[in-house]
Amino acid sequence: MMNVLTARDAQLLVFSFATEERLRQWLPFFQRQFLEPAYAVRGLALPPDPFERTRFLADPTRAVYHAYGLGRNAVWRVYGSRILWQYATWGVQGKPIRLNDDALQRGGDFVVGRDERLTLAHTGRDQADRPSPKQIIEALG
Amino acid sequence: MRLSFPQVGKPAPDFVLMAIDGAHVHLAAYPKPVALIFLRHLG
Repeated sequence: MMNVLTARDAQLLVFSFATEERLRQWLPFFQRQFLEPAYAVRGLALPPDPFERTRFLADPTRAVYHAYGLGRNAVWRVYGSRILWQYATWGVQGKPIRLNDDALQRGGDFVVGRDERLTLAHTGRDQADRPSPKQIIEALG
Repeated sequence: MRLSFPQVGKPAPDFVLMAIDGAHVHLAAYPKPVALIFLRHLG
């Protein structure tokens, strides 16, 4: 992903509705449990600074989430078959699942082009519905 | 609360937030293209 961002001179902004402190504490966990295995399974070395083009932002008031239309999901969507399958997969892979935040808050993925307009707006049908990396890369131009 | 999703082709809603590295992030002034990833709960 780093090469893709560099080649397009693109940036990545990652939002969480957690507090700044909690987000800061979560980053090493994310790198160890998800990022490093993702590179390893592809036979790739983790870049020296995997977050060189990434900034992490805490939005505990959810003002930016709401500006992008991201409210809370219905319970039946959050715990639908696809998300339960994803949790089961993570469980098999030994990845911990911690549900100590608001599990109903929706996530989403957007890309802003050089003309300040959206080239991707994906909010998903349920909590497991995310665009593919290919879709995001195409939207980056 | 009624929320509306911004659509492809429309201007991205602007915002100002402080990143955890202390950087002041103002979308309108931020380099583009930029992907915005809104996480669900932290795992």
